[in-house]
Amino acid sequence: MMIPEDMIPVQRPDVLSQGVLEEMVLYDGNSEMGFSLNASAKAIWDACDGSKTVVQICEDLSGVFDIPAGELLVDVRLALEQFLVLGLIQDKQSLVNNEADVA
Amino acid sequence: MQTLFVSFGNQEVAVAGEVEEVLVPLAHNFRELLVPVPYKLLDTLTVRREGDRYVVDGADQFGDHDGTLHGAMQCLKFEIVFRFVREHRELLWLHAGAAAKGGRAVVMCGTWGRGKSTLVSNLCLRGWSYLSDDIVPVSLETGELVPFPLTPQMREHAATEDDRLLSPGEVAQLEKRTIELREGQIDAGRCAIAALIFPQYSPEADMRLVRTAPASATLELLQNCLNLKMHRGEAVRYLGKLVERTPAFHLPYRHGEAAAQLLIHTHAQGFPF
Repeated sequence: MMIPEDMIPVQRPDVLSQGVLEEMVLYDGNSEMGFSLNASAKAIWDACDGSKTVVQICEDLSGVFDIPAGELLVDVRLALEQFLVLGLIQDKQSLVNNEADVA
Repeated sequence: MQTLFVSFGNQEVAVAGEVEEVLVPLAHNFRELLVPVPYKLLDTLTVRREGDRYVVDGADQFGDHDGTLHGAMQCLKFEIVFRFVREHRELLWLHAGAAAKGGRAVVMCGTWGRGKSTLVSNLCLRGWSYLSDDIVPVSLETGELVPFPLTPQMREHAATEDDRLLSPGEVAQLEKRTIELREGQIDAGRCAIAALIFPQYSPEADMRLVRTAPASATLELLQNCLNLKMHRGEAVRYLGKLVERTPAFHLPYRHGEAAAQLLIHTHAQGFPF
């Protein structure tokens, strides 16, 4: 699966997140599964607020990690792909389209 | 008909029956929690024989055991514990053991076969206060550990005649023996948590205390939380906060005595990592 650069990832509302020092724990109430994120993955998770595309997330994180946005793209896509496969995030655009279909 | 009253927080679960081979060891396992008369009876479980099978009436979560004596014992233990878990929503119940020195407890957390009981027993044999062998309730309000002193047991020495250490599976086959504690060694009071330990017994282990990453420690606690479904988000938040203020370590080990000595030494230093 290739995460498109214009995807707008948004955290699923039923996933609980808890910061633990510099790291984070996620708990999916539906699957009753928990996940631990290191500091880098936490930064990507925090960026999935439904307001930024993948490219914009990389630009934001570029300032945080002092790494060019282009170099971050592979790792960010990989993390988002895992979040998506695990059902922790969704694509805001497809969410909007689905809501429009229902309406 | 004999009846045992297992008590926790002034509430009791009764176990009644005439099956001596079940009630005698059950009374032994819960002897520190038995009372002669109930204060507030929560429920009654009855054990009986039906041909070759042992049947537990009143069981609702673990009633479909295999009918053996061992199965009935396990069923009764879990049914009793889960009645207290259901009743005490103010506590998070962890699958863990605990022992304390100077009012500061070390909690050994992990699933079956990780070596929790061996560590707790070895600490108690070296003078520590005994709090729990298998189940550790923690107060959501105060963060203190509440004793749940099932009778401590340890599997017999895990070394063979040729000095080969046994695998966790082989160790599981060994008979358990009760650890006899001196009077006053069982701590009835609530206790602060000094450290969280995730033990891992293995005959090949290179013993050391390894600081556990905060999120991983929280996740391990969640995996060993018996009433996670009851508290969900509150449990996640609470255990995350517990990890933030409490040092957490993995402890691979092969000799329980040596691992206990390491914990005693590090506890005396205040777990400085």
